[in-house]
Amino acid sequence: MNNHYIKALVICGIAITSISSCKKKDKNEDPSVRAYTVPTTYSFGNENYASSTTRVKMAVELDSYLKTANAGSTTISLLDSKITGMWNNTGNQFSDAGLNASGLNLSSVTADANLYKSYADSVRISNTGTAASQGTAGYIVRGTNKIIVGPRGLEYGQAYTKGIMGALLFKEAVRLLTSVKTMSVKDTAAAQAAWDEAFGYLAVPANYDTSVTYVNTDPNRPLLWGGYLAERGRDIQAGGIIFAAFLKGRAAIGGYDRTVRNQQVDVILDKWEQLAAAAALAYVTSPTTSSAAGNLGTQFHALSEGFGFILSLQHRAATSKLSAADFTTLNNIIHKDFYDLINQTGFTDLVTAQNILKNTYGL
Amino acid sequence: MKKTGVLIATCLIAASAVFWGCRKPTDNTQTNPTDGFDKSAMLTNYADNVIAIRYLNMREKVAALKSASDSYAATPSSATQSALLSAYKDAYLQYEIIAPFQFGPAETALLDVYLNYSGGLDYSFTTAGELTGFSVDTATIESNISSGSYNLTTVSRSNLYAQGFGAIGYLAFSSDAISRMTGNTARAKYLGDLVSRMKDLVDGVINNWTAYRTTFVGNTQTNVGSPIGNIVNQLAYQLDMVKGPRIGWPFGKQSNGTVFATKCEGYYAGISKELAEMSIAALKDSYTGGGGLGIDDYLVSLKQDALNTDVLAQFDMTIAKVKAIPGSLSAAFTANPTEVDAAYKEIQKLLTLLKTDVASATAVQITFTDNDGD
Repeated sequence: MNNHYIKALVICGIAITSISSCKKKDKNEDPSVRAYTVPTTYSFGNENYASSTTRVKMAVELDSYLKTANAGSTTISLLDSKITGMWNNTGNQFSDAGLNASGLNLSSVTADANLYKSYADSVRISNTGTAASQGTAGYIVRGTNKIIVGPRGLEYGQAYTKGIMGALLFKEAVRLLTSVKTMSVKDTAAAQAAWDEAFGYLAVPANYDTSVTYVNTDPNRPLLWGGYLAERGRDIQAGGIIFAAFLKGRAAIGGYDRTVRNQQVDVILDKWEQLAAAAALAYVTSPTTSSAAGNLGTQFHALSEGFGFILSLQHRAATSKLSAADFTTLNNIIHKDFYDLINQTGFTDLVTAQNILKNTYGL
Repeated sequence: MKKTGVLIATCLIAASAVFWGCRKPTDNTQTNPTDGFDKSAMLTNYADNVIAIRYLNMREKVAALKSASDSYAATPSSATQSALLSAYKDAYLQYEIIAPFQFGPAETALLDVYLNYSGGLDYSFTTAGELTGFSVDTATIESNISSGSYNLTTVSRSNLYAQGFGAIGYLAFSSDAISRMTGNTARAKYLGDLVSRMKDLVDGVINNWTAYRTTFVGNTQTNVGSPIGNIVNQLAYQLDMVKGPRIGWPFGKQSNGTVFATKCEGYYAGISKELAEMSIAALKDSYTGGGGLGIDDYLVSLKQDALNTDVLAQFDMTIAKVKAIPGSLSAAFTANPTEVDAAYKEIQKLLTLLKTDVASATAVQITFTDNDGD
């Protein structure tokens, strides 16, 4: 073998290793980093995110059950036993037997669990066939269906669903990923387990592809946050960025690459929070547009989604760009009586909320 | 040495493949096609030659409406009423021409909502008693007149149905309008307030466009809220309005054929058909950039000539079918359902072209419908 050949091989090897870890040229302080490749799907041979996937499916099934009350114009009563059973996973209430047998539940991992349970209960309680008005809970027509709202216009079903997207899914993802950052680089098993569980809360298929339009009959379709990646996260490329960071960080754990692992935690948490903010922004904006003005069903539905997304910002990571003061302002606005919010001249409060979200998150 | 060169080249290719493999997957979104088309020139055409001119015409027509309605309110007679009808019709038709520009300053001012409230697209149109489509809330109008206390800026359904073109039409052209206006200063004042408010809103939008123009012309993106995104969204939105509140819903398309004849646009003046026709013509005008650089040229630059040809032909076909409906719309709903239905079918076809094909070809996301399914 001639000299040039060897030299070239060496150069080539160096080039590929240094690029394949996708690192910016930094001083590699950790001597134990070993070569690893980043796959294009979430498959590493030992991944397991069944627990978080199970909870996501439970949340979705309870959401679907609550929405049965919205269909058509006649009153369809909900059962306390069903809601409470799904919430605590007692009495085999899920149609998916795997969920019933999982030994997991929503109640024990949700922050402010009583609050979100009470939103779910309130759908049932306020579903009386009474037309809602300011000060009176009941139904409001939305298209050919209806929504069940409280005396201040909050659609309880959305407060539950978007609420636990924050208080369970996002909160847990933040907790798990933050914990990974503190783990020893040698502790790959614990880090991978936490990483996988966090990934499950994103609720996208292992072969997630942002260019695919998932139909709602696809059993592999993204759910909850996963669905929002496309629904409200396109302009900020949330789907591509978060998914890629999950792949890269998971691979980095196996490569003992602390720097990359921790960078990806920051990328995920930053983008995920921005996604929540983008969704919140869309929902505090659409009720102020001419196409929604005067249409309570449309406006309150959107505000109630915004309510949940703003509440989810409560569970943001310590590295968040959102100040405590601005969060308080947002939180106070979205807790106001919706009838008042949509009747303000110039929508002062909602515009204030829009500006905080736009300025903080560069939206 | 040669071998080494090849090896290094292979190595570079391999390395770059790995490098590209590490890039973030791109979302299939609003990257502008590199088409060499001057989008800024197109937007400049929209701003200066289309929107600005049509707004100034609107200002003139509203001024004429104001003076005609003042004369009518001062001396209600069939002569002043017919002069008012002519001014009202002119202003209303001109409004249809500016309706596709409901973004930027018009959106901030909620111009469409205050001038021509349609009840929204996401609203069931199945019961006669409810205020839907282009209803007029006569009860609120009468109570506003008798109490003399009202705040026209409130964004509530009843308030929006008590002002704008619909309410003015009721005060001016309903069956006993002249006798009820005669000697009734409160009624005259209310009519005056409605027209003045219309004038203030239009003036405000025109004034704010001066500052907005820079933003508009300078933003050639096609993402949510961008000027191109807004133009395309409005093409679809306004046509959805034709399919819904302007023709389809009062015709009974949401109510198993139950007709709501009084809920069509401009009912009291009997000009619903002309308004619907103008609304579609106005969309064609917006689509073609008033004959200058428009969405049509943009599509051609994106090699969508066939789509553009289809859209233009479908515009003409749709306008012709609406024109072919005999008499007034409110009468034709029951007297000539076949002709109305024929027009409706063409509207649906045009809507698919605009909302699906044009939106997709221009990489614009249609945002006015909450289509998240939850």
